[in-house]
Amino acid sequence: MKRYLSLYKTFLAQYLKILMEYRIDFLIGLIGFGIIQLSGIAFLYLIFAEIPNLNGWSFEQIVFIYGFAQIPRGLDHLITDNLWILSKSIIVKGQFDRYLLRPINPLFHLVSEVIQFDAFGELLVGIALVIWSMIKLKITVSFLQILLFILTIISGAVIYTSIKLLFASLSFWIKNSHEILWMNYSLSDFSKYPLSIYSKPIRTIITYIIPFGFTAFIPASYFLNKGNLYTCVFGTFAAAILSFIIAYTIWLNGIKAYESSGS
Amino acid sequence: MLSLKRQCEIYFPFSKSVIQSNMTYKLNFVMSICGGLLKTAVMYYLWRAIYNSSSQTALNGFTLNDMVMYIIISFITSRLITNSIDFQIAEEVKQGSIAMNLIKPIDYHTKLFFEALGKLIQELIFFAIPTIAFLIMIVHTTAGNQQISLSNIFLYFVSAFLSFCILFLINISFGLIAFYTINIWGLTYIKFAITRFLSGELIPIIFFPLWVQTILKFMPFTSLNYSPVMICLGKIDLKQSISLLLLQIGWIVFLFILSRWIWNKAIKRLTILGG
Amino acid sequence: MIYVENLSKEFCIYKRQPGILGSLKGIFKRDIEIKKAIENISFNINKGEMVGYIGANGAGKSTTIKIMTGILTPTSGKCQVNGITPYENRTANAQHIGVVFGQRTQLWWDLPLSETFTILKKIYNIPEDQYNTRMEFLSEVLDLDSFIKYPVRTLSLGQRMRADLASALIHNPKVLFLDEPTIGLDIVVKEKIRKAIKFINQEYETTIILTTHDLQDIEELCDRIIIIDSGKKVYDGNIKNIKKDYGYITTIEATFSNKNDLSLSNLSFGFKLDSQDLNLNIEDNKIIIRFNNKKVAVSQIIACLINEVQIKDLHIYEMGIEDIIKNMYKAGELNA
Repeated sequence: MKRYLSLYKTFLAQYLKILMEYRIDFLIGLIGFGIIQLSGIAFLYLIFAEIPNLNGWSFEQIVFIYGFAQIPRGLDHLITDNLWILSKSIIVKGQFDRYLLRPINPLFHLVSEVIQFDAFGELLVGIALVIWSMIKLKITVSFLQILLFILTIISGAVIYTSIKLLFASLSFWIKNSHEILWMNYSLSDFSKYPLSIYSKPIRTIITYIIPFGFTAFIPASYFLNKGNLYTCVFGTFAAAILSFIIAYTIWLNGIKAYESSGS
Repeated sequence: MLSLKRQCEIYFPFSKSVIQSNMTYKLNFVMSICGGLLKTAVMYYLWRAIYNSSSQTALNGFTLNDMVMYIIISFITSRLITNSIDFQIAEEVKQGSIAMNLIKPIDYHTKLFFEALGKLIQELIFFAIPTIAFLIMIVHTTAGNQQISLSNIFLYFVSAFLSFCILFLINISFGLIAFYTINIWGLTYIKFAITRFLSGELIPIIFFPLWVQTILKFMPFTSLNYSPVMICLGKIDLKQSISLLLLQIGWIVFLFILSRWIWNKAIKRLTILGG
Repeated sequence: MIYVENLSKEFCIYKRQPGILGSLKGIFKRDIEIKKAIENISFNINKGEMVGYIGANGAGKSTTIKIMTGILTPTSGKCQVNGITPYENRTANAQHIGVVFGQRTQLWWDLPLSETFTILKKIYNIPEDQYNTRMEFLSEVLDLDSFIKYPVRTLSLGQRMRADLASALIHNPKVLFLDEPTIGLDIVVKEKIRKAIKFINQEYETTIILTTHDLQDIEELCDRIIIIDSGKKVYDGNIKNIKKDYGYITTIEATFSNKNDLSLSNLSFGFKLDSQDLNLNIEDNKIIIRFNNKKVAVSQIIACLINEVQIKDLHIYEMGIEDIIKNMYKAGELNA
């Protein structure tokens, strides 16, 4: 564990150096991802000019949920972006061997190769929106709640990672699973708004099957005093652990399949 | 100057090869449509909740039914006109293969145009036409108060084609920026974010504050999505439709000149710096 | 050091069905065809040996290497590297082996080469002093200093291969697997790499297994070769005589400035050799001569050629591994 942390620190330092070399490009990426998120907020703003509330949720509350959604998403985006490349081309081009040739965990090896700083666009906008809406809503948080907030954010990121890992691992069998991953990743759009606006089958899917609901709306509603501690916070935590176990099992099986078939 | 027919004979194989290579991965095509449909579904539920929360049945002249049609046609339009020419140019600049394309006895712009056209044809045949036919059937059988007239559909396809040309020219100019930066990915993302919002793909332009609408009149964005969709839905009369089409043509002329100008500058840079 | 017994590997090849429905169906049920990549392969390699593992394309070389490095699990049989079964204990095995795949780099593409070594130091838990001596040794032998500060993606193929070799050796592995280490390199770089490999083997008693298409690699590096053909081991033994006994056909391809100069009759050369030992062929303004270099020297053939006609271009080809294997079959040397 200590070795992995020290390794990751080395990678981080290296990528930061590269980042400093290409400052302008980093800024561009950051602005890009930031603008996308801001256009979503502008959209909500235009809508709330027409209606007093959305299904009982005020503009500020919706902004809180929307902003909350960006943070786990950005965190996962920052750390595990290479999973997209796995789904798209690593197996197709026969480049997976290298991850099996070093005495470190192959998943760590794969993921540590890319740190996607563009994700700060999502992270910064998300954090700004959460803080802005909290001030507007006059939400005060205790120290314990800050800890719970961090717990749910990390859990949410783990859920994102697990879903990506699961569908990216399918590439061990079908070579290219990029579009399948993209399709399932698209489901995360549902979690940006209150789940109550959706029909029952969709709610079921994004709560129990592809659990994006736990990456934003469910934990966020706890902090808005609209949900209880157990389902919202511990439910999120449990969903994260469970999804990671399932995804990691599939990943391990994928490697096994790779070991028996080669490239 | 070669005749148009001869030009098509030379360049149409580029379109064909794009279609062929895309159709080798049919499952990917289907999945990408499914992903888009999911995003559209989110918008549908959101609008449903918005109308449920409103005391009025129509917002800015749009009923919920109108709005559902709007987001669906919007989705179809964005799939139709989207191309990744900017990435393609950037990739060729990065790999240095753009020089190879310049020494071939074909016009690079025309070649790119026909490649984008290939994707358009593919989307048209395998997605847009079937989906629109299906929509017309649904609308007619449920006998809603609104009907999509065939003349509107025809004008829609004309307008969508013009949108395609506008976006193509915008993308060409963007791709050439790759000569100046390596993070073309970030730049195209900014372009994507801006065009998606300001073209009315997310929400009809009429929902925007008046001053924004005024500014947008002087920009090409609404010609990308809002114009064809409004024409399709019959939200505007024939005279207005024609003037929107003329405006689109105007933008094409302007952007064509602009893209050629940028191109000449970029090429000069290429020949000086040697790629 | 390496112990392989009755190793076999079968692959299932799935046939793709056409159409969207077909590929959807393919996810659940597929037609399977079984292909044997290697069959009952056994050998032992001692510490410090340098062994050439050769065979034609698709003979099963890479499959064997992948099993020994832990990337592939065999269908049946045993394999141990330094007492460890690689596919059961991949990480432990990885700690004491080094692998270079000539066609694919294992370096971090965007990082400067020097940083790659810092990372590898952490990955393999190499103590500081050992790392320093090792680094010094490798940069001297492989001449890394001139490009160690550059990102890997900017290196030339030859530099990259040297870097890959160094990165496979930084943790002082007991066994080194080299899969086509000189592929695509020019002669000077090839020579440099061969020298380095030889030196490392002598200095550290590293056991080395090498697959290659380049006969010269094998001649210069290996005392022993193992030949496999269609997944089966067909030869295991000394290399010294192989080339002399079976790699004796040289091909000369010469282009002439004037086509009229050419006719088979006036190119008899006056050597009294039958068609097995000397064989002429004319294609357009090109002449292809295959001859037994044990019976007539290259220089003699060229001398004759120059006498007869004007040469515009000339190429000399040594025999490839595929042909040598064919010759060995013919001579009954291989136990097929």
